[in-house]
Amino acid sequence: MKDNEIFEKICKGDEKTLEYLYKKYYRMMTKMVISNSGSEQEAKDIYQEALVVFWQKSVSGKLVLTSKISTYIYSICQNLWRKELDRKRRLSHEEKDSTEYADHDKVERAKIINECINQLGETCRRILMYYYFDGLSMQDIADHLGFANTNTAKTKKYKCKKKLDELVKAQYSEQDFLD
Amino acid sequence: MDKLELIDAYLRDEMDSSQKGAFEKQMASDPKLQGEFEFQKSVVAGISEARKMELKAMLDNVVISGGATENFTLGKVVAGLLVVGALSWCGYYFTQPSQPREFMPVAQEAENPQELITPKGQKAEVEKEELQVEASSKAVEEKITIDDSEVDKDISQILPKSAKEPQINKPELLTGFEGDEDTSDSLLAPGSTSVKGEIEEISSIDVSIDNTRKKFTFHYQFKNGRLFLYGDFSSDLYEILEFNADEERALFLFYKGKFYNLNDDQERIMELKVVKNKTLLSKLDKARTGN
Repeated sequence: MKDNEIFEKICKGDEKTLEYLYKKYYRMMTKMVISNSGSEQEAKDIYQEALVVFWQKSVSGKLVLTSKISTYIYSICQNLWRKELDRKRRLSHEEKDSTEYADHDKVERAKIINECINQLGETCRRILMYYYFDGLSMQDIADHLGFANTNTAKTKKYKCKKKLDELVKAQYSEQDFLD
Repeated sequence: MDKLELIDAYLRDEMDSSQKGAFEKQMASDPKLQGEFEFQKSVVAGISEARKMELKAMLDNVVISGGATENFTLGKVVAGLLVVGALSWCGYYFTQPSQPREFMPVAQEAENPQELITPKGQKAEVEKEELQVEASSKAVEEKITIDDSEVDKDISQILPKSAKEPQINKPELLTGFEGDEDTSDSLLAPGSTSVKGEIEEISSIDVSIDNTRKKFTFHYQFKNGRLFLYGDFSSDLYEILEFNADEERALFLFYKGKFYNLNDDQERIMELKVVKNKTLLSKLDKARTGN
């Protein structure tokens, strides 16, 4: 598959093409991290993170590709790995404690929200993810999920979000009470 | 636009700079809006995180060629058995000098029969023999190319007789090869005509050997869909194992008892690297030998 074909498919939200892309450049991208004092697992994490960034920017229509896909993803990997190395360096110094507390709080909140998302039905999960992460328009969401029109997508999104907000708020209060 | 729609638009980066400025100003003067914004921001971050995890989990399940999690389905194993069967048949067939006729008509069907047999005068002589065996099933196909000087000797012993016999062109011997079969290969695997209806596609890998480059003694590359092997591969049989599932394909070279990774995206000449992963090796071995 050529670059323009891959990019076109990814912009349309084709997850199979993302898998194809992942496989295609796996060795190239992970090699960069491994040869810069990273482990195999770190290399894999960085590459996956970079691909997710590429996916989000492409699907939401925010990316105008002016270079080869591999060049673009490689530069994301480099930036992410540089950041990670900085983070590691900082962790080895005095900032360690405060960072850990902040991270812990963030992780806890993310965990609560994730539990609430899992309580939603599959359609609700998809709508909210497509809308808030993939950045799809209501028309695209209607197309992806087979809704009759954008109004249906809009109404469903509103109801799903309301339900999630309620679940999270209930969990937050419970958590505050327990703390 | 209500409060939540405004927050959504801000978080989805749908506002221009002036709208953003106005919204931030409004938040600064309205603590309730500020609180709602912080809440919505954390919920949206949670949704994004969940989606990221989902995509990463999907990528985690992707099989990387030569990796540790090669997934062999029953179909692939069956295809492996078919190939091994075909290979054994060829080995047996070409060591039996009394049955040359079945080979000849097939060779005549090939696109370039002169590549297989080049008679010189009354004495037929085989200069180079390349036997390609293909075994296909619905989901999987594998291709094995044999380059064997030992086989050449046996064939050269039987060919003079065959070349003198005009019966080899008898049309009845060609029954079953009605032109719609893929004749681009020199020899089809035994039984391939009987499963004709089940064959969906024939492997697209063509292999070329180049032994002229001093710098590349055990290397490979893919160029225009063709596999180029660099080095001396004449001393033993080599096999190309191809595993297909949906749109994915994994390729391996088997040579002198070892498996080597073949990446079909490898456009530059690259040294052949031996597969070391024990799990993968055992699965490859099973697929190849059928045991």
